[in-house]
Amino acid sequence: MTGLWAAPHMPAVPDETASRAALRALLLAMADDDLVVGHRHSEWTGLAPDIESDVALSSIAQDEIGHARLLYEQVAGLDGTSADRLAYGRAPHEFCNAVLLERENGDWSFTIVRAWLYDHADAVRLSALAASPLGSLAAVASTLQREEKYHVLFSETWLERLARATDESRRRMQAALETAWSEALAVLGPTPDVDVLTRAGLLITGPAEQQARWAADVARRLTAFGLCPPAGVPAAGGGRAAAHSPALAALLDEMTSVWRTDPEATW
Amino acid sequence: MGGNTRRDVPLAGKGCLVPIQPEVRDDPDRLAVFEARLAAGDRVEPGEWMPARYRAECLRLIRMHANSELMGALPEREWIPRAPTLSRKLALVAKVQDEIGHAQLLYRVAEDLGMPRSQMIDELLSGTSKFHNVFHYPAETWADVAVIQVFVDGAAMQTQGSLRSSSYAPYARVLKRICYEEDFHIRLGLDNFKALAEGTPRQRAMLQDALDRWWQPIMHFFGPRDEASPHLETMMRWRIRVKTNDELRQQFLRQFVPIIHEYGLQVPDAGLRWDAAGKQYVYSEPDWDEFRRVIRGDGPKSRTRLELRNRYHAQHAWVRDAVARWGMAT
Amino acid sequence: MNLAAITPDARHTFAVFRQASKTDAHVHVGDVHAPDAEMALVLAKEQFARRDPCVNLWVARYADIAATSYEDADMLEPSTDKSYRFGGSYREQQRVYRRR
Repeated sequence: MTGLWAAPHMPAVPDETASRAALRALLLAMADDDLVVGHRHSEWTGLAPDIESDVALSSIAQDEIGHARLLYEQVAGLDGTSADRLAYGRAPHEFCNAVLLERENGDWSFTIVRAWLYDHADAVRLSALAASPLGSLAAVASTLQREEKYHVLFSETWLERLARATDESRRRMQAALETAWSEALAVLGPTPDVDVLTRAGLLITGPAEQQARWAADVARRLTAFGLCPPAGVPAAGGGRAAAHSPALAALLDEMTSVWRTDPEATW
Repeated sequence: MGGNTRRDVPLAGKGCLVPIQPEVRDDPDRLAVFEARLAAGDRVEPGEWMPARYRAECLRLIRMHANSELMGALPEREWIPRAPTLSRKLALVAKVQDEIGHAQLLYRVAEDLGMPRSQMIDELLSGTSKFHNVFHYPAETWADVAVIQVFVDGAAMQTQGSLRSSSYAPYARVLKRICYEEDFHIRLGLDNFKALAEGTPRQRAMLQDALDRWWQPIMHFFGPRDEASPHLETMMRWRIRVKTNDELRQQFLRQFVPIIHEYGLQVPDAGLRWDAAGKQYVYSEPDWDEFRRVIRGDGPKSRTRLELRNRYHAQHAWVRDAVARWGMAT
Repeated sequence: MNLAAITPDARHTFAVFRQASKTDAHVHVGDVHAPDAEMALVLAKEQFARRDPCVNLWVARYADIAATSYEDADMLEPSTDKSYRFGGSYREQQRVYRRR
């Protein structure tokens, strides 16, 4: 984060302290999203429906956890802590991930639908950040973007086939979509004080516009695959506003169980 | 490793291209030419003529190897959600991913001996085909992960390294890549091992405890003493295998006992010593009854692990059906 | 022969060819099971290019691969003198040529 801020391309910002805090909140939310969804994907390692997809999803899990690590390092630089402390040392209510991502994996239909909805949202969010005049932020975003391209390809290839293959697979995909939809609408919801960044010109495409772009894009694709984007559903469970489900506490409890036995030890 | 050929390798199942009939009598002239070729160092490819027994032994060995990679992912994958740092988590996912990838490579090799992958997986899940003894045991603590990565993978590396010279060419080829990745696993394991061995007293105690529990299964891993090993003679004559159980066990001990001593840990076998005259390790005879029980599917975790696989296999039935239907239509 | 004679589900088994760089040819590195070619490419990427360098992948159905037979491998090896095909047989001339 200090690295991000000290970049030579840093434009003059009216309220630097507020901008810094807003940027920190945004990066932390993104890091939490990636960690939590990466953790969920990694729960499939060894148990996916076919061996080849098992290998592919394990790579995607690694990418997401790796992205989380990179983003946590940016935040840790500012806070004087470490990526591991941020990942392992915070209580559930301090996490800012979208609720959709902490939900248990369920079956393959929910996993694919969630991955696909999130991959598209992340793509929109990263392309907004990649266009930021804050050069080093743009550079981090475009690094992450490169790996996200495959994630979309994987989830979309599966989504399209399952949406079309059999009556049962289509029915299951539609049901998973309806389960995920309201929480998916919240994935691109505003992070604390994000409008400070848009006002300062550091973020050209704000959350509302990102959200509209994503919604139009996924609705168009779903229709093309023969699925129906649910209509008239309000966004639910921001998660950014600390409205987590019990699934997050359970996830973190398990995730930190070894680390907690001795946080000072070298593992 | 152990086992009864007739039970392991059923006669041609649905979708088999070549009947698997180990008891069939081969044309003696072709057999003589085949054996002369192997003796001259030639290797065998799937489309070539081979004795029925050679095909059955290769399938038995490679299928067991593939099953073991798939089942071997389970003990370590339990620790993925609990890995204590982000780096450990990333490396562990990558490591378990490699094992699943190895299963993919090995089932593919086994398939061309005449049995579809889906049938091999069905038979694994129904308990009619086997997997290595070590994967029937629990991984109780984080230190088990380190011990598995160093010693179980280290043991597997001895076997797999030697099999790169196997006369069955497709097996030898995939083993080059598998060994390359296993080398990463052992190094990763040593890094985990070192952190615990040089860590707090609790971490050290946890590591010694894991080593104590894993030692006997690892000694079992190489299979019974050569004279008690039913398939060995045929396998060696046809160069399907090139080193015996005892040779591989000694090779393992020479490489890995010093690592345990280097970190001041104890080898959990009071009878273990280096016999300078015989240039080999002397060790206490492990309990071979336990080995035979475990291999039959009566190990501490055999049932739980197969149940877990079966549960997910059943859950994914609609996905397999959709993929098959889609595949037919395109 | 056609490889469908060896491989159980040759229509849904794809051979994977990896090109490490643009100056290298595509090389067969393994196979994947997949319902169609597009899925085969998606799955091949992580099974066969997650460590090794890769700029391009090909997949081909086993059902579409024709192969020579190993029993005819002798046909692939010349038995009479074909050394005239190799530069090494013209060592003197090569020396003259290299000097320039």
